[in-house]
Amino acid sequence: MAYRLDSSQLGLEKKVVLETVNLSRYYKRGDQVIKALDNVSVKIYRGEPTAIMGPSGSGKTTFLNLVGLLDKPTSGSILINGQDVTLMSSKQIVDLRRHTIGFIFQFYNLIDVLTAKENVELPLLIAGVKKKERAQRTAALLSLVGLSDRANHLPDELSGGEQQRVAIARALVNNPSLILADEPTGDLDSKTGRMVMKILLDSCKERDIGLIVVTHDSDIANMMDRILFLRDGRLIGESRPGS
Amino acid sequence: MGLLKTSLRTVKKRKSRAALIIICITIGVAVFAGANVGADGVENAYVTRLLSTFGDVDLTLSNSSNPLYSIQYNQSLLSQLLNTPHVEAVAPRISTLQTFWFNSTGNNTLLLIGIDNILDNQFGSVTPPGLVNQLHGNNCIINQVAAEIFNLTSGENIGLYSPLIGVNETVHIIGVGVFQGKFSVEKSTPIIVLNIEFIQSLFHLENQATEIVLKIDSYRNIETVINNLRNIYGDKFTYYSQKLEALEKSESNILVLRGALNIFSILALIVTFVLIIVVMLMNISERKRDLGIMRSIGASTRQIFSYVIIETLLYGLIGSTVGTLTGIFLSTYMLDFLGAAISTITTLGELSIILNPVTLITCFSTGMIIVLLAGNIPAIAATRITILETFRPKMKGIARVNVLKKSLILGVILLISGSITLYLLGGGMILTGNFTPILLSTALITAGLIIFFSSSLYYVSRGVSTIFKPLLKESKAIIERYIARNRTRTTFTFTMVAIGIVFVIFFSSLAVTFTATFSTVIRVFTGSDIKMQVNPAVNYNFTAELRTLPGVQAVSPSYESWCTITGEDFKIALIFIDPDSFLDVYPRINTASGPAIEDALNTLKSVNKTIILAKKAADLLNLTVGDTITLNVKNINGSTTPIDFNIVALVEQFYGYPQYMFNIRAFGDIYGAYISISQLEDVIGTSNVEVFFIKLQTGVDQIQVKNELENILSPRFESLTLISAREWENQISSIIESFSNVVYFFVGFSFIVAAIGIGIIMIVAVSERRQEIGILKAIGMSRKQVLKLVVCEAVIITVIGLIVGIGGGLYLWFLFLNRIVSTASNLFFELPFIIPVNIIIYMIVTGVLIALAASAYPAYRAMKLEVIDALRRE
Ligand SMILES: Nc1ncnc2c1ncn2[C@@H]1O[C@H](COP(=O)(O)OP(=O)(O)O)[C@@H](O)[C@H]1O
Ligand SMILES: [Mg+2]
Repeated sequence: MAYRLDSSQLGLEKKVVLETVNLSRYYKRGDQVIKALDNVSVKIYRGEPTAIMGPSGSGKTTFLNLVGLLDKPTSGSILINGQDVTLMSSKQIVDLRRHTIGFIFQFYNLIDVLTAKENVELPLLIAGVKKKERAQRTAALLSLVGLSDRANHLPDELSGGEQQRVAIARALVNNPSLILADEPTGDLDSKTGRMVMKILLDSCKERDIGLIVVTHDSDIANMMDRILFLRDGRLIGESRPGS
Repeated sequence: MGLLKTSLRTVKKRKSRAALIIICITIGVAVFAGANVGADGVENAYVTRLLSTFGDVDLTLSNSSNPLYSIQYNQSLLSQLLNTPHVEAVAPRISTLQTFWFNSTGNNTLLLIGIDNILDNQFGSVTPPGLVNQLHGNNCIINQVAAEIFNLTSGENIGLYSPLIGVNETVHIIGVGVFQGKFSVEKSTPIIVLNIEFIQSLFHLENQATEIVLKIDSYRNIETVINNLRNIYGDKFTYYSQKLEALEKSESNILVLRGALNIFSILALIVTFVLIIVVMLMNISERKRDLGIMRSIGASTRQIFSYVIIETLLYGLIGSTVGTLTGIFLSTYMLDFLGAAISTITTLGELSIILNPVTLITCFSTGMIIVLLAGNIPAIAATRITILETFRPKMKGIARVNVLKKSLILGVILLISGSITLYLLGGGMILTGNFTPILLSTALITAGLIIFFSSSLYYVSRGVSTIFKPLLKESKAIIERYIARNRTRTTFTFTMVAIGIVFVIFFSSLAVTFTATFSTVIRVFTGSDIKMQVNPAVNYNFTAELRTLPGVQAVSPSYESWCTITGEDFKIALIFIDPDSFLDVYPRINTASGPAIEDALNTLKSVNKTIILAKKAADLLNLTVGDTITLNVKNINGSTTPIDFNIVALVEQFYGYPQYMFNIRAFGDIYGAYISISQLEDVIGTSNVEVFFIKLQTGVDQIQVKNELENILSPRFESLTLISAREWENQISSIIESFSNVVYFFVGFSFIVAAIGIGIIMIVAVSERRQEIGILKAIGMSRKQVLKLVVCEAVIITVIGLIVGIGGGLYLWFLFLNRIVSTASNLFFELPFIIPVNIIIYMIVTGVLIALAASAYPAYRAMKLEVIDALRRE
């Protein structure tokens, strides 16, 4: 019996966190139909950070919006942790946003009236987590992103890199299984961008979280385990920088 | 003109923003116009009623050297007068007092009036009406006095005979009436009214008149006509307008009415002013990109400025027009409501809308001026937009200032100075009736509170949101910071809520306190149940007869005379009482020094020129028991005699007469002295009194006994007034009630404005925070939580307003009450500090409901906001 080890126990088989099947999103502009996303079928794995690259207008944001449940597909389905989300009620979707998905945006999008600590704590508050646990998790994440000493600063008092680190902490705080980042380094200089990215990558790997990063920066993309290429709404290929 | 086109296109593209601004302007102008058109209506109704007793004549010209002499007139003088602007009709009139013999009676003095029926067709209320038009030939109308004195009726003839002036004529009575105008004053004079020509020929007074009467198109123009005529004729005439005199007398009433209406309409305009700025600023910041691009392609600051101001003016044009029209519509409701509200205080004539073009133009142009003034701020803001700004997301640069120290200090200073103002000057108000100090301190205290709260808004909003913590949960931190961050906007919003409430709380505290105090006041004041006033006066011994009437237990006659004291500037009321029934009918009082009250009263009865004096008066005059006080007593025939009185005892509390009850000045210093009524003849020169206080047997029905007494006694007197304490109470509570109604009316008014303000402010807040709401949704906020975020912010701001309003109102009332109590140091009753709990609860409930209603739509918009739309960058 001992020789029949489950492959997953060895860490050989990767766990699928997100799967799309023939995912399409069309927009109508007058009589014209714009295929912002066209029949994309892809699997994203936990602990395998994935970049999405492609020219502007190729459907990267559309893809993230769809899998982040901010938008509804024209056709096709999305499975998160094996569950088809296209059939979910809005209540279930809210639940998924609270517990399963984390977002990171290009312009950090912190709530500017709240301090760094409060921004990180906010998803937990929204989800109704108990006070003690909130404090513990917030403190842990702030120290993870190296901002323990800036906890009580408002976003305006932080640099772009620092703000994005707060945003990372906020995305990680409710232990999601998938993090979606749309050009997270787009507003940062390349050195800061790489530093921020490293924090994000390390924590996702460490916690076995699925990560999708949309980027134009090939240096950033090369830090990932896997790169997907989109063009005109279609998946046209992928590569693995590491191997 | 390119600018106008661009502006028009912008309006077209951003319909909802345009609609929002137009709504703001419309509402502000509508409220302003409603109040003003309404005030015109109310003023008109008031004036109509006031002037209804005066007939057609607006202005009387009489001989300036002696009004009894006649004026020589001719047709050209009359037509010259008629051609004066605003004059609608001119006619001569004769009034002359003559003595005749007639119908076998002796020397009869009566007033002969010769009128011109063109102008005087509403000269009197004659039955059947329209008789004045038949005054030709020897037809005449007599007044009721003449009919009664000479026992004449309609249809009879009177032979007027006066050998002295050579008159022997017969006149034919066609009606009996009551004459108005100048002659209504001479109520007891018999009057015969004839056609002027008849009198002229009777006395050979062709082309002569005692006065020339004028009808003017509106009472508003009387003054102008007088000035015009004075320029032409100088002092040849005496110009007299009874209407003008009456109007001048009631000018303050009209002013109060208009003023009250205008306070709230100005409030509405201020709200509009701020809302225009807020919404236009939002509009501009949403259009930053466009404006930045316009600048980058070479638009000058001036062009940008005009571009924005033209757009704003465009909105103003629509808003002011629609607002003025809506205001007319609104004023009908206002008139109905206001008419009902004040019906118990004063009766008005028919309330109808008066469309005074001046008012309408004023309303429209006020709207435009407000728009123009407000439009400057967003227009200037637009010129400051740099091209760079449009490329990066805005950095708000949050000030970490939790307390604005300077304004906090200013707020405290205002609060203190408001309190001091009331403290120092408020007391004077009670005596002089000058309400400026209380208004001033209301303004200072309200402003102080608002500034104080505004400058410490961070802590205020944290404090208030802590109350709601279990409800707010995840939104608490966000809401309290939003509130604190938008300091100006929040302050503006809670101020709108607070202002109406300050008034309600102050006045309802007043109403509650007085209502609660009232029944005790009546008891304490009199101890009696019915006050009876008769005319003509009757010997005070009439009390003996009154005591035998059914239901009566005790009766005390009363006479009061105000006496001066040489060298002192205050008066003493010398009150004649019956020592035997005093303790039954007045409340029990004890003497402060001297013998017990029973013994003191006995002395009053048995020893002449003895009095019981109010202690306060004695203290001021440095007198004590046993001393003599000299009072200058006014005799019945008007002469004043100094009389020495011996002080038997002093009383701490002095009870005056109930008729002073509502004269707030009487709360101040009634210095008085009691003296036995048996000396009335001796001191005053009469033994007749007009006032009796009656105490009823226990258990009888006050109103019923009062009615019985009325039936028994009314044949004995020309006039008889019986007021029972119960009725009086009811009367007062109905006055207080209608007073409160008026207050509620204004408050309702300001609440509507506040609700609209809150709604618009929240719409602006939501549209400014689209992106943040998107993020909150993306990180897991449910629709319900987003809804709560918006609604609770509105509620908390309203609660801050409620705190300021209720706190301010109570504080003001507390100060005011303290001043009354300490100024009127010899106050005869307690004025407790009662908190109007139910009003406060109503206000809180109404306030919260308003916040909920006003934020419903913005909250709904926030809830519906799609995350991708909110986060998308153009
Ligand atoms: N709401 C929308 N309505 C119409 N077209 C849209 C909308 N959103 C995106 N598109 C179109 O879909 C395509 C993909 O857009 P997007 O996913 O934003 O591209 P990327 O993020 O790769 O630059 C583009 O051609 C864009 O114009
Ligand atoms: Mg994109």
